[in-house]
Amino acid sequence: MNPQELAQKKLVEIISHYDKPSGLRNVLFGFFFLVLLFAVYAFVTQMVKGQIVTGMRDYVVWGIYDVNFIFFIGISYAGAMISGILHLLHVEWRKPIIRIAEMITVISVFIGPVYVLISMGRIDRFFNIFTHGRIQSPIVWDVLAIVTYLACSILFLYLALIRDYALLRDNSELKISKWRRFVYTKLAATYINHPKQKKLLGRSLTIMSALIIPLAILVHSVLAWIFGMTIRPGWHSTIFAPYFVVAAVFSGTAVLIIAMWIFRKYYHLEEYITEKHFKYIGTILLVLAGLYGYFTFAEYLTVWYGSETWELEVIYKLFDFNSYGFWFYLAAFIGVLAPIIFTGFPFLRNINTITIGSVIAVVCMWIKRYLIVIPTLETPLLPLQDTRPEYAHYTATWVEWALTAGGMATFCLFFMIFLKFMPIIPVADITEVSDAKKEIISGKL
Amino acid sequence: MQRKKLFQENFNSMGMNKIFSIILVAVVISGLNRPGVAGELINPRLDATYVKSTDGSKRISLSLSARIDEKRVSIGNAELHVTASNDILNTELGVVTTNQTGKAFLDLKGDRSIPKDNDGYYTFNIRFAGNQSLNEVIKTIRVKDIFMEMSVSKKDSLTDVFVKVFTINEAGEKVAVPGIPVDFFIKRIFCLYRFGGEKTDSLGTCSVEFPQSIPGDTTGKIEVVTRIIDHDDYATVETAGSFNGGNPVIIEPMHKRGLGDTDAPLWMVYTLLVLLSGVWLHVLYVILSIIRINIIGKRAEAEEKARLNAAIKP
Repeated sequence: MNPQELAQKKLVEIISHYDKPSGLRNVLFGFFFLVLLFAVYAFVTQMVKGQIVTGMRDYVVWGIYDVNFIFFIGISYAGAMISGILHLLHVEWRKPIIRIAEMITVISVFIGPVYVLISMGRIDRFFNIFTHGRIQSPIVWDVLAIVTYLACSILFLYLALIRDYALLRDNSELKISKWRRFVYTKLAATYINHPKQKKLLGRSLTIMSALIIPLAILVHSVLAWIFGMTIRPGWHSTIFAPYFVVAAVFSGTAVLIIAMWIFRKYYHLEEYITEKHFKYIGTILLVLAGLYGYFTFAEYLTVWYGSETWELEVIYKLFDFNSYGFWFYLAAFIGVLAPIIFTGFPFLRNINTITIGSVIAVVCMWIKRYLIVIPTLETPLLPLQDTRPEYAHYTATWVEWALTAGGMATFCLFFMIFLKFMPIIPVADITEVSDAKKEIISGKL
Repeated sequence: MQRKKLFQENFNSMGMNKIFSIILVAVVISGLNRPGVAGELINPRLDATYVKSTDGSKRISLSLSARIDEKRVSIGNAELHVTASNDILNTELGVVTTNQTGKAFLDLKGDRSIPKDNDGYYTFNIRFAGNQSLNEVIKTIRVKDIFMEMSVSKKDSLTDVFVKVFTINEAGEKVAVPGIPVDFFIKRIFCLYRFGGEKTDSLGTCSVEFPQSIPGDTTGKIEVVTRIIDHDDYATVETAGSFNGGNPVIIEPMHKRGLGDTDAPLWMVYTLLVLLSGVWLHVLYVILSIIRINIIGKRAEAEEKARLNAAIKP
């Protein structure tokens, strides 16, 4: 069987694994769609009645919308770092999971910035950022960086898909509708495995994977600078950029593990996504958890030891169980320790425990973002005078929770829709025999 | 047990249970009539202050509040009727409505004739008519008209601020008012800085040495405010003026640090341009590569087709 025939066989095998009609999948699709509709209703309510329907007020001007923005941009790191680095290093085991990672990146970079638009009081003035933006403003850097990052992520995903689209275009075994075959033909860009095409595609993929890593670091650094360059307690920190980057890779890797578990279990991809993948990615998660824990410790120890009055106000809010203490200790300790324990001890390490550790990490990372944004805004530099105390306290409203749930539902919906148009396992990649292997086969090495 | 039973029998025969019932009902009713209990009207508090400024404008500041559940609560959206009266006339000055903090102001224009009594007092009556939960309340303030003049004298390095306080009699002559406490202030950005206080002498004047090393504006101009505060007869009277008694403040040209400027520093523009063009040129190269992949494919397919056609043709 030549490589082309092998690839076609694998393609049919993989797609038949998950392309079967499924009642559970339909129910889930319907559920996510309803949640999305409810979020749309919440959004319309906010547009009609204004930001008063949210918990955001004069002092706490950023709420869970911005928490979600940081969270989604953070998890987009899964594709950027995991697929980018592993591609550059030619790590063979990356192949079955690389598509999931890239999809997480594209989808989350799509959803994340939407929250910034939602949190804007006047969404119709969005284009003023481009027409009246000041280059000195970190917010303008953020807009430019995210737009570039999104373009590169889409291009990176598409490049990796070209060979699979070519396989789908040429496949005669699968029942593919006419219009879908037309789309595949267009997207395959007449790829016929010509040596020149292979060379160009390989070079483009290398360029994009090399480009996407610094770009991803830059995007999250710029996001951190929006906070760090503001002279406010809890934000004004020199290590905020690397802290954000590590937190993003950590949460992105955890989301990748959860996605791998779901696809493996419900799309029957056990043959491709094996325990080995979980253990390898779990090890990366372990290292990142340690690194993230170290950054957290360094950040809070320095601030607490400095005893600067305003900084201490925020610190004591975070340490106090009557304020944010419970959530802080949960995020800072459980969120770090759970993935370390589940992946660090061999007798505990298996597919399910690594996934549980990842779920805990993801939830705690969302809470941590909340603790970065809200308590600082609730601690204004000037003492409150002649103002309502509730303006300096934030509680998310149903509108905000509905839009948060809508974002999560859209994330899942996008995955389900993407699956209809692209194979979740990069078939051309996994059936390709690497040059090194070819040399081994031919007896050169 | 027997003693207890005997007591109960006597108690009932004396009709004591009826008396106790009456007392109980009376206690309950009297409890309901406690001040502040629902159903009873609350007595609000109305505060009024009268302030006369240098330009002759007069303002009556009003504040309406009530004590509810041991807390002082501001009463907003309440109409307050202000009148001025003497033995003969009663002139309506206006109706003002309190804001959310229970405050309202009434500005009396200088040219407005306000009735005076024989002793030269203005009597202002402020009335809140009451509503479903608040009683009516009336506040009266009596004030006499008084004038202040401020001047500055410089001797060597010392500067004194003089104030003359006087009234004007029916003949239009100035009559000095002795023993009036006057406070001296410098106007700062957020509030007034008090630099002295004196009582007027028999000539109705007083002076305070102006402090040195007070920063003024770029020309050294400084605004001084003198006040008679909450006097029993004259209420609050204020006069203000400016003179070059402060140290000129030299405003250094703003250090161009970039982020606060209207124009971005050039290094930032160049860095951004280099970074963005670096990335987007690579993106462009990749897009061109995809187009080239397409062209190569089409060309190869065409060649293959031509080769097959050539093979078919004899």
